[in-house]
Amino acid sequence: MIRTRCASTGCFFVWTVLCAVLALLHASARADDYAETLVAQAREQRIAQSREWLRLGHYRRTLFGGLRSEADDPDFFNSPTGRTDPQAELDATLRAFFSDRPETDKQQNPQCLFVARYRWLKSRLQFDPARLPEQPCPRFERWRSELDPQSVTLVFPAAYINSPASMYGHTLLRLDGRAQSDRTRILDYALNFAAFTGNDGGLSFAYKGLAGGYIGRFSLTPYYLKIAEYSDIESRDIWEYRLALTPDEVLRLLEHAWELGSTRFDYYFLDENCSYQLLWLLDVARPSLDLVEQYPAWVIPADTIRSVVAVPGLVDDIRFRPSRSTQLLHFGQTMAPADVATARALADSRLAPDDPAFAQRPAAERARVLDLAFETLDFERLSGERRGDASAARLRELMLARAKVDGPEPPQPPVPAVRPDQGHGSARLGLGGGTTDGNGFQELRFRGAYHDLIDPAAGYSRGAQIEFGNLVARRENGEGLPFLEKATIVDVTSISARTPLSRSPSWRLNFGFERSRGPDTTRPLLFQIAGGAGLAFDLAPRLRWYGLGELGAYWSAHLDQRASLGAGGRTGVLFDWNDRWRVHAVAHGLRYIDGPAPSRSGAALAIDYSLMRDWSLRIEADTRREFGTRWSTVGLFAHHFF
Amino acid sequence: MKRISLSAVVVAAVMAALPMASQAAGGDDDVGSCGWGSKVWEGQVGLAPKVLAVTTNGTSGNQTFGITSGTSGCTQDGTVKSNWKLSSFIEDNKSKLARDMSRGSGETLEAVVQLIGVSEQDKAAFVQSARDNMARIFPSTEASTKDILAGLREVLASDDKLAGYVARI
Repeated sequence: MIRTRCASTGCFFVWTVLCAVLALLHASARADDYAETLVAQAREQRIAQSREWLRLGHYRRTLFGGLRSEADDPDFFNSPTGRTDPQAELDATLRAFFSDRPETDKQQNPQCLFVARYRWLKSRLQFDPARLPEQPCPRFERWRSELDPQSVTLVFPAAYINSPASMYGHTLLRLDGRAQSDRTRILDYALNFAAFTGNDGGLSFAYKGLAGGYIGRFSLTPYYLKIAEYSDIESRDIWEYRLALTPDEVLRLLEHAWELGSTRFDYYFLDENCSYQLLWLLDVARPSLDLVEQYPAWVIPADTIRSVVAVPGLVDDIRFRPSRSTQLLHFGQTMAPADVATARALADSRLAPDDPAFAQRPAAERARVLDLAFETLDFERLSGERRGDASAARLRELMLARAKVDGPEPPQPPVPAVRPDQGHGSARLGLGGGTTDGNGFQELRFRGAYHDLIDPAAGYSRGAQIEFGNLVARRENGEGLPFLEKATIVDVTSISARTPLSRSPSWRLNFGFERSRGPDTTRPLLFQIAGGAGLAFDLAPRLRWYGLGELGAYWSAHLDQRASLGAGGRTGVLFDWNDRWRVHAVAHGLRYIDGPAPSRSGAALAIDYSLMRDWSLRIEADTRREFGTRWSTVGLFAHHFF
Repeated sequence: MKRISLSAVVVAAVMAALPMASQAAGGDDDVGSCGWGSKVWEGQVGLAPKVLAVTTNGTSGNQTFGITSGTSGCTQDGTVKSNWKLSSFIEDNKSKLARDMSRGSGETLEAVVQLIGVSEQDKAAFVQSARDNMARIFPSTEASTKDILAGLREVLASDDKLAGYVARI
């Protein structure tokens, strides 16, 4: 302290100001000192290289050995080079904790914005609260106490038959609030990662989803809205896998979810998708899980469920929540056909609830028929099959009538014997051989995802097919090298049986490359695309017939007619003889506008025998006629799923 | 569903023109001004969405809430504000609520019971009272959330045991 004699007020004033400035500089220097102390300490302990720090920053190794964060939002980083430099990010984060930025509705102090990092670093480095004051985080604390989870559940909306596209699945996390009981889980919040697609439609929607053209973010949604979306509208059965995380782990997960807040991630349908992003949250909660590292390439939601279930003791309870349409289908099956017909009549307003004959029936019976009528009508309204005031008025009448009779709740569908995560693996490798056009051949097949019409059924939907990246290489005897026989990029097929209660159409979309046969033993390669819609009916419980009208087009550099457009159709039968044997027979034809008719046609029979969960045998026989050439093929293949 | 959105917009416009009333615990039940809910169903019907659903589990963003998005409308950092919980729940669960109430049981009904805070002892009376007065709670074909809440208040008010819950709706 400098002593001096001040002769005037002015002098005194200057000295006060000078002392104040010096004191402030001294204090901030002390803060800077402590910041640098922490930075040095962190380097000593090699925190920037620790698994926990890398998880918190979403860093992954690049092909060249460096580290790069998958967060695509500069606000996620405190350092301008934070994205590729975990050390710089750590240093900058530690320094940022000294900020006195106040919390408002629009901004937060870095200690609150990066609450998971703060709390973890605080415990690792033993922050001294005297030198690094702890900032209050009222917004985070309010949010946390509002959610107050006692456990976290991994939710997997699987699929129902009308919507095989949804069979690919989705995963989200449900935060199970302490205030909710099992009967009020719908009031919990769901933590969800999804792409924000705006009003996109058509091919741009498909393209952008694959190419990272969308931004993905985490968000919260009341669970009942998710159920409405998946279970009611999209007819997906939902599986709920409760995770046995400790209270500390649940808290860490919440803290990190808060940090992720509105961080932008580029959404890639194949690898950085909804299921993948959830794995980060689980890895932050419990770093020893190391789930993210199991997925260097593409991520299929069902696979992430498999990974989680495979961790001993991580899943402690599994529940099945049937979709609205599963419930409806089951409900109809438990009632006599006459009652189903009555329910249909009530739903269609052909019969009134106060009809004398109906009113005579015992109350319990009336209750069930009214319930079925209500469910049918409501479901059809939701799925858009019915619109208008008449349905709404009829729903109200049914509801009022139901309130006057006592009866049991509708029966719940049984829990399927095999869960989606217990079905065959999502990738398939095949090896086999046979004869084609009189010549022997050997074949190697690989399919990235997912399930075809007669792959082993357990855990998957009947009549649903999704194939991505189905590659077939074949070598014929007498020809030295194998060649690409087929490369299907996408095939999605939905064969959905029409019943009195479910009137969904069947449809198919397929595109990719395949090799045909032309004159003079040429093997032209074509790019083809085909799509169609139609109907299917169950002729017997396990026998389904379908018929589709189709449009198709092809491009080929190897044919005289380079490209053409055509129309045609296909009809087939799916037969599940028992749990192991599945049969598919199909006949198809497509007539192009330029060219001889029928331009391409064929018939095929395929029989699949399920040996065990991840192994099956397949016999395939087909005869094709294309561009004037006709040939037959028979083959036997072994399939391994992984 | 589109008609509900339209009527919600009209109600919101009218409400905006009126002087603000003070909010009671459940007070201002014009959930349409929140700007979400029924929009879940827009654009979802038909074949095309099913086909396109393969490539992305997209969302138009209307019904999801940013986690650190601050305060807006009925949400705060992604969670529903307490005075909006009941009305936003009913807004998105109308037909299921009607169904459960008419049966006297079900998940949706349980949730409403919890949101109102009906005690264990009063639950049976509440459920029975609702069941007996369905026509008043759902007064018209396309009853709005506002109508349903008003109907519920009316029904509870006329029951001595349950009148205490009116303030919570």
